[in-house]
Amino acid sequence: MAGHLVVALVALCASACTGAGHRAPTALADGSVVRTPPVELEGVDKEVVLTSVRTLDAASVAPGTPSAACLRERSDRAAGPVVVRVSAYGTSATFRTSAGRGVYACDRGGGPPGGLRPWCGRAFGRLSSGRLRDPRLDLGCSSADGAPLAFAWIEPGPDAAYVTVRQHGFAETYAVSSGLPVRVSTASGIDLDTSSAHLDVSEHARDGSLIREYTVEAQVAG
Amino acid sequence: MTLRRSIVAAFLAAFGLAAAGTAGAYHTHFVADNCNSAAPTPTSYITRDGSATVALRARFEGYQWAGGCWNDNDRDDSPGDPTEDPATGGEGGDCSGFTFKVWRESLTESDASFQQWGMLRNVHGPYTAARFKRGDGAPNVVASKAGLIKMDALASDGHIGMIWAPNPDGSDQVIEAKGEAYGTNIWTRTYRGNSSYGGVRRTGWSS
Repeated sequence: MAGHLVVALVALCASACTGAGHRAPTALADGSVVRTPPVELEGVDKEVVLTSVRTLDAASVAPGTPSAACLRERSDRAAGPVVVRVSAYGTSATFRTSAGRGVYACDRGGGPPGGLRPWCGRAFGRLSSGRLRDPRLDLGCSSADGAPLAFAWIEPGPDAAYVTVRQHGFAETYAVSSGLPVRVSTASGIDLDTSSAHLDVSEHARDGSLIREYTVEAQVAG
Repeated sequence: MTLRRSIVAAFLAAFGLAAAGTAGAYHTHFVADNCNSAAPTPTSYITRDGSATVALRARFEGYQWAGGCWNDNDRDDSPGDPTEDPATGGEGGDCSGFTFKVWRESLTESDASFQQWGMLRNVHGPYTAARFKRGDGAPNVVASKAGLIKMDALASDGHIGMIWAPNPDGSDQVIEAKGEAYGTNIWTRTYRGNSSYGGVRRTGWSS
């Protein structure tokens, strides 16, 4: 009996002390191996996963790809590049719409993209004086294990090189790219009953120094 | 040094709202004072006339970005809320929240069942106009604009309104939550002829 108790306590301690179940993933949503950021991010006291980012020329996106399907969702042409991001939980593609009046995103959770409908979520954000007025929360996707996901845009300051989002047990950081808002995803802080999500965010300079830290309370709207 | 800020201040810093001070300070308390989080009542069927009745109760009741709670006194009890601020707590739905409630949908996207939400239940639902436009969610499908009838919807990436009645000239009377300055009402619209709008239908109507 006492032996069983010791074993149970050891197991409990091992789980609690390492945050088992909320450990940093070893692979991103597309199966690629996780990398760490090239600089230490000041003020982030969790293990940090570097998300991947690719910048595609909208005019030369290969037909039949998920990015092409996303571009087809708009009747107008993209203005500028398509930024494809892969995080631990999902994939997104963001581009500026024609005449630069808005930004559009397609979102996908874990697992391979479906054929005809490779994206489970999407968002359109109007730009006012060149800025978003809303993070355009999307709750339409799930992780590979079926957990709800939230996608939202973070619009960092001009001095930010990285946007970091806290998850349970780890943090994910996104490299700022192409002057577009950064489409982040999270499996933490989601409330489906109120169609909202809470994101703990920090912005960092190229050398990793902390610029600002804040909380975004995003709600599905409009 | 950690620069932890309040939610509103941080949001303003992140998104650069123009009306920063006003929006941050403003709160009508309509939602806090009147609205609830009651569970919806499942129902076995819905009709278009029934949804029209649900929609009419929201008429004249105002507009709230990300909102979904209203009474039925035919006036906006929180007029002049700062626009596109979900924290103002005012009366009314926004365009997609209004549609979600009138179409009596579930918060679970894979669930196409029928759910009656109380007027004072503050609920928006998981869909934006852009997602309605693509037929996202089990209850919703993209539909030909030519075939749309009463309580079907026309959606763009930024707005959605439901058809109240087609007009002979090809325009429609549309019931919609239009914006803070306009509230929720029925207007004549030309969305059907606008290429940025597509047709959307809630599935499962009995009649």
